[in-house]
Amino acid sequence: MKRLCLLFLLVLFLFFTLGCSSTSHMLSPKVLDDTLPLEEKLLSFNIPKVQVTYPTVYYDGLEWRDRLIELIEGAEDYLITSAFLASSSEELEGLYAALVRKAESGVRVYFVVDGTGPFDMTETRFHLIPLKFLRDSGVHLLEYSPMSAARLVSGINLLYRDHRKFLIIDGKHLAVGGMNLNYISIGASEEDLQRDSMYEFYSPSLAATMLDHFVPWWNEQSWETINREDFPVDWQAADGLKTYDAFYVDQHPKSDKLSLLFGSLLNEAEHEIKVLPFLPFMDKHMMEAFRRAQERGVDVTMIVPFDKRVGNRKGIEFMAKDLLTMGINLRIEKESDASQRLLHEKLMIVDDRYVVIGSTNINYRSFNLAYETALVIDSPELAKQVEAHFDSLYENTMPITEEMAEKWQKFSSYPRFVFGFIGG
Amino acid sequence: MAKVFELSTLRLRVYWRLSVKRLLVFLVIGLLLIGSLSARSVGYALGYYGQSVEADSELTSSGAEFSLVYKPFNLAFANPSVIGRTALGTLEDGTYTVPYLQIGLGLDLFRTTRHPFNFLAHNIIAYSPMIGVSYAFDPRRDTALLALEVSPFKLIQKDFWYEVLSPFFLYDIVKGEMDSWGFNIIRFTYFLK
Repeated sequence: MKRLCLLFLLVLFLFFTLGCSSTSHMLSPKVLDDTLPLEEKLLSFNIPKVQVTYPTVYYDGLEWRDRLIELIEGAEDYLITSAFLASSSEELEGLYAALVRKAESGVRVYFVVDGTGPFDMTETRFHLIPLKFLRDSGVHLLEYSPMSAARLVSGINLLYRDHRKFLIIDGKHLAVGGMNLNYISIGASEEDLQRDSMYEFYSPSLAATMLDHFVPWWNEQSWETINREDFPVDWQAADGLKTYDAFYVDQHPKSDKLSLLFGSLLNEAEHEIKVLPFLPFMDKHMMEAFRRAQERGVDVTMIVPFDKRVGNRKGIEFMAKDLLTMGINLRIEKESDASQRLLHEKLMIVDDRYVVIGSTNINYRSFNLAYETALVIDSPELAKQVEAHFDSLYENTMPITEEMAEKWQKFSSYPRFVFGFIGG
Repeated sequence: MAKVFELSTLRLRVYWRLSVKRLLVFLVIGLLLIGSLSARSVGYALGYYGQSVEADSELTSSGAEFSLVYKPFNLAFANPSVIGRTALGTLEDGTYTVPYLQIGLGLDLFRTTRHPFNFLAHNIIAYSPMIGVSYAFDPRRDTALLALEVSPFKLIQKDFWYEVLSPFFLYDIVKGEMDSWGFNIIRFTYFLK
């Protein structure tokens, strides 16, 4: 009986974690249909089309922090921000003080942080002041799925995390990207500061879309009910500015949107794909989608960051052998002074035209178990700019060879791989 | 004369028992029909109970309790829910026992976020005391009972209920007497997305 119970629990666990995988949609007939134009395909997947201005790109966390303070100080009506990891520190006092001042002055401030925030295991853990104090100033603070002993009852659902990073101010200023609001993302000094990116732009249509997603999501979590009509959009924000077509995904756990988006883009590619996946814990469908693109003659280059955190590095190294089956130009950053600063950036560039930004790591967890954002911008100009950035990173990489992968695939690293696959 | 009185009393009790059962079934089905299956409407709970059986002290038990909850609305007053419940406990001699199977209705009397317990939770949490009435069945004695429960210390979020020290009473309608009573020491309910 005990064995049966254990077996049942194991099957249940696998069903919920792996059985519900949406990545198979990356290879669905519609995704692979070459007769359908990309736009038509994405719209049929309910991935809305929006117009965005040319973004200002921030690769320096401290620069983004200063800009963020500036944006916060300019907020007049409301401010919504979401981050996977967020906490204060000595270096971030200015930022959080600005938020407090705004809330106290009557600006509605909605701040979402994932429940893993207080358990930040990066260098931030030595510089971590929890954000509960924000509530005293009137900030509407929401911790998504807090981690507590009682909540162990939610079992496997604790794996679902909110990994999104975005900012909406007065329906006018928008930002998406990979930077958290914690010490190592936007507060640390040189050696600890992560390498990452944030993109700031104007887009009334994207602001409206993001608000359409945010308001019901917030109401699903909080007793502080809000109404969509109380969050106006500045429809003149992009007047006179050149805009580009873009497609926005607000992914929920177990949704297939990201798989459909990335699958379609990989299938659309004709000559080149460049990828910064952050933690490439991919499953077989994801690898197959990349393999197929490469097999069609598309040059796929993927840069795996050097991760000085041994646990993560060993986990990724363990699966390098599998990643090599994609047949792509798989590179890893060389261990150097520069790569000591973790490359946390997520980016995909397709055919010097489509630029995919947002919070999404190219891995199983992001595609299945997390809330994520992804924005595809159709802009050769932007593609050229971010490709130059990608190429500069490429200079400090080396190919992952069969020999290296063989050496890395040690059984002792398997637990780290499993942890990374589900929790990375 | 006495026999006639006893017979009519028995009929009355049986009638009561059937009526309560029917009423509960009617209410449960009604709620299931008018409610919709949306996010955070279906949940499950784990708890720890202790129960004392008045009629047979050897049946006194404590252990884990499992519940399934359907909460179709988020009303600020009189928010109903359908609750199915069972438990697996141990008797005083250590043998396993299933003390009850229940199906019934819960009613959150009101909901307020203005209370002194917000410091306990990461997010704003509401205080929402609940009363519940259920049809209960004791499989050990093949006995049908009416269960009444109160959750005076119940804190709720959209996706989670926390309950502590919830007393319950099981009433034997046929005999017209209290059958057993107990406490749910602690209970956590999680609502699926």
